[in-house]
Amino acid sequence: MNRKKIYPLYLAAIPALIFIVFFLLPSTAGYYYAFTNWSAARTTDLKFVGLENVISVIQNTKIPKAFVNTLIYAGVKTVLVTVLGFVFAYILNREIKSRTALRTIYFIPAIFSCLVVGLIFSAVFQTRYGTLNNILNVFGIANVQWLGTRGTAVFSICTAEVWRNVGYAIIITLAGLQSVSADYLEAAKLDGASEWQIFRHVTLPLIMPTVNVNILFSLIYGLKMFDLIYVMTGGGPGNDTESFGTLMMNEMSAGRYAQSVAVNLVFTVILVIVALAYQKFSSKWETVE
Amino acid sequence: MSIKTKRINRVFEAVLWIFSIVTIYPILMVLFTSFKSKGESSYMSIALPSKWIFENYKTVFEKNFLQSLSNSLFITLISVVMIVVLAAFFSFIIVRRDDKICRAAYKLASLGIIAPFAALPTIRLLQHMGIYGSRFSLCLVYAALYMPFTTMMFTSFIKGIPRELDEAAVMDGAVGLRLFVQIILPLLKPAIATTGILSFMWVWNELQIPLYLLNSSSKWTLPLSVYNFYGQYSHSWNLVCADVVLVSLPVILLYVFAQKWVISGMTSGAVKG
Amino acid sequence: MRKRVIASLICATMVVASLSGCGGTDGDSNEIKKESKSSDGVTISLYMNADDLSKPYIQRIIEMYEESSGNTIDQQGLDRDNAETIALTKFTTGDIPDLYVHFGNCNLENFNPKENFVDWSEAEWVTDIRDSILPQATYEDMVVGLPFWEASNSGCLYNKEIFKELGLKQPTNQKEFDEVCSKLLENGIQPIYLAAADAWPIEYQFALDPVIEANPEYVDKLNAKEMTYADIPEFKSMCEWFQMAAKKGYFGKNYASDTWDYANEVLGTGEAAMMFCWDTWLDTDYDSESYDYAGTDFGIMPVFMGTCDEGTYEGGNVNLILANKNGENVEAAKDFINFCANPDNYNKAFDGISTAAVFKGQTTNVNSAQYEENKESVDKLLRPSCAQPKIIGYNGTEGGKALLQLMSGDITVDECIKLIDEDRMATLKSFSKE
Repeated sequence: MNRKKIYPLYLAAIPALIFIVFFLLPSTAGYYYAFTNWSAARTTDLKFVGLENVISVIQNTKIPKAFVNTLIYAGVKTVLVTVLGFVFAYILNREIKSRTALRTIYFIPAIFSCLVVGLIFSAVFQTRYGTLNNILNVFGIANVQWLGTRGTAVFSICTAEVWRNVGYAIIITLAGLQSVSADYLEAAKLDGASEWQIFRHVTLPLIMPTVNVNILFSLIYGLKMFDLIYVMTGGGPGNDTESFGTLMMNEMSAGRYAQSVAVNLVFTVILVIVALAYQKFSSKWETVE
Repeated sequence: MSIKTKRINRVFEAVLWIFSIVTIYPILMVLFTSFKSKGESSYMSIALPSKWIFENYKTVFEKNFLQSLSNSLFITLISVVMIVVLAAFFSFIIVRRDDKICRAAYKLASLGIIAPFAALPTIRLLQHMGIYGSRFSLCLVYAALYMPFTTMMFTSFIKGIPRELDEAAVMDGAVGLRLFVQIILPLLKPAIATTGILSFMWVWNELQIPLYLLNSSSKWTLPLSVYNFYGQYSHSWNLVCADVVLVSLPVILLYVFAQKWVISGMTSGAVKG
Repeated sequence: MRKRVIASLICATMVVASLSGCGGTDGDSNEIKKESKSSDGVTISLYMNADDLSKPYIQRIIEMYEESSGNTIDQQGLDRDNAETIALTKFTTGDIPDLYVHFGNCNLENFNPKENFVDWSEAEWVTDIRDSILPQATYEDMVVGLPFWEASNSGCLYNKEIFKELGLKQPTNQKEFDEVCSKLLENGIQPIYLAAADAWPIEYQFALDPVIEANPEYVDKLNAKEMTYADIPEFKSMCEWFQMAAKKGYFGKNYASDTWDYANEVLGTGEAAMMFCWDTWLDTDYDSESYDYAGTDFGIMPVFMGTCDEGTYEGGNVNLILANKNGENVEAAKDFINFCANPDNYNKAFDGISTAAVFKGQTTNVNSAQYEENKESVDKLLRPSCAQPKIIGYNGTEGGKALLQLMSGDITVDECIKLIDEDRMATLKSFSKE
């Protein structure tokens, strides 16, 4: 029997339709506004202004800093979240007595909204009464303005973001580990393979697709990051911690809607390139394994 | 299990508990703050409340709690079922059929996690269809919005299921929906539980989209009507924290439940490698 | 099998539902109940910034109205950061509420007041609005909404006890103010708490109010792109003052990471002696019981930011309640506004609330202790807020960020002015009519 009959397209038709109608169409249509003079002061009778807004975005003096910051956020987040998530998930998948409790504790940060995580870490990194400075004071180190200079503020934001997202990575990886068939592991054990060998040659290749989901997910959401930055530093001090996401928000709250969409458009183009490049790279990697 | 493995596990367990301070400390911060007076909670700290104020929870509870809870349940349930079921079908066909259309569809879907939600065109579309303002329209938007991520998850899992399983079932005459239900679905349990819990959490916690798409506060969800009411900047962090605790509890319970379900699914031997 | 999966999911939710104390009621039945309940009255929809909606006097007046009229107000509090964007999106798509509350600055124009809102120019209550407030309720030549809000006086709060201990007097000009700061510094007290990390608490609009009052033509010229901030000499002197103050340590060491949330703590423990703020903050947000200094230990004095030698206070901005004139419930909406404007009702709603009066017949509000003590100075130097509501593109946050960069020494005064002006021009350009 041929594939077309075994896997009929109609099963995918409804999901595809809903996805296209309720998300893809409106989102794509939304980008049209980047080429108009849409603003808080003008919501009807919009005029087409061509690339004017896109050009003004590219020329914006805040873009270079925001671009570098965005890369730092996404890079640090992706590496740390994926690695930590994997390590914790691997341990939590072992037969540990209190693992239900541990799994729950490690997952809770993922439930909190960005506002709460922002509040928590603002308190941890606060200069005068913050937890971290209190600890440093015990060792005789003077107060550090964690959120007051660029390097430390970017570091603080990354810490908070990683803290919030390791939970996601853990449960996604756990799901992957749990669908590794016990039979494979048994077979490998009977062949006398060591734990490391089993891990390297059985477990790792089998959950590579899940790890890829984690990486792509962290990467894209890391690049899109804005709300945590907004709560913790508001993009400041000055514009030192601004990302593409916060620039978009700034344009939006100033009522410059078309410009906000234009920032988004430029940003989306970058994201699409990154995502496609990564997929190409990772598909090779999966087939090699 | 060998003694050596047991010993290693015990060491791991101890390490994880030590590490968990990094997580527990902030959780306690939220918990303690939720019992403080407004003045004491002007910023978050680990200090114990000088007086435990349980009324914070009562205050939060009184704001249309039951109605928004039922709205939340209605919206979240329908959305999650749609997200999971639709994405599972979609991924199944995409991975197994693996022709040009399907590969293109997968690319398109993964672009979906990049594109943002656009409020104005979405409202216009829903108005055009005559369903703007209803809770069900919100569910449809959520289903579409979170499908890309769920599809990514499912495709990566289905790729790991050997094709030979399909072929054996096809011999027995199972194709299409039956093949999916009999062979693929049981093996997707961990993925279903995981995407289910994640999408539950996202829909449950979403603050912005319902504000745009619902037109009456009688349809509002829990986080919206409770937490938004105090505003993010009126600095009643004690109430905000009490609300966070209340809104998070169902998600935590669901998580514990889902974890047990996954594990029991695995040990009952659904896998015939 | 699929049924089992769905059943399990439903099951899971039911468990959650019963644990949270609710039997998983179907949402639709609730809605029907609600609608039938209000069948004898009308449901009037209201959009308002969620923070504002939670003010006690607003809640009080809504409760009173619902009780007396049998109508229901469907209160939709919008997320503060995006309130205006959400409202504007809804207005654009034609989903306009019966009542809308707006801060009445130049952004009101975006909502097309002439076409959308009821004209109250002929209403009886117009004569009851205090003269200093009425201009804020007027759009072009029409009274567009009812000002129903608390009014505060902004200035520089200072710790009277610390001043007394050090033998300091309330300064009356810029030079005296700077001397006071130096004295405080000498005694190891941070003169001013400036929450510069949040950017907006720098409140540089205070510095601009007197400038614009003296030169009203600046506003038109700025809005017509005929003038830039660089052309205003006082703007430069303001920037220079901030630069100098930061350098001398008036804002302490940590201003770049100081946030609004910690103002209570820093003022309350006497770590810092002053802060640019509004007087009613001490009643609504300051926690007198938890700290060494109580709210009444603080007084108010004028703000000196290098632009106005005699100093300045800023009057309150008020929220306006607007009625949709094309809505289905326009009569009920008008009824609500008239209800709010009734002296008996507003006096009940504002009973004991710490605010300056908005209505001439307002008697139950309480003036702040700081105002009562220093009435003469406040009344003399109080200026209506003009920079923020009138200059199109004025942005407290972006401006504050630029000033912080200046204070940290990252940019020069001229660069700072240019940065603030570029942001203003970008908004002005995207708002321009052609």
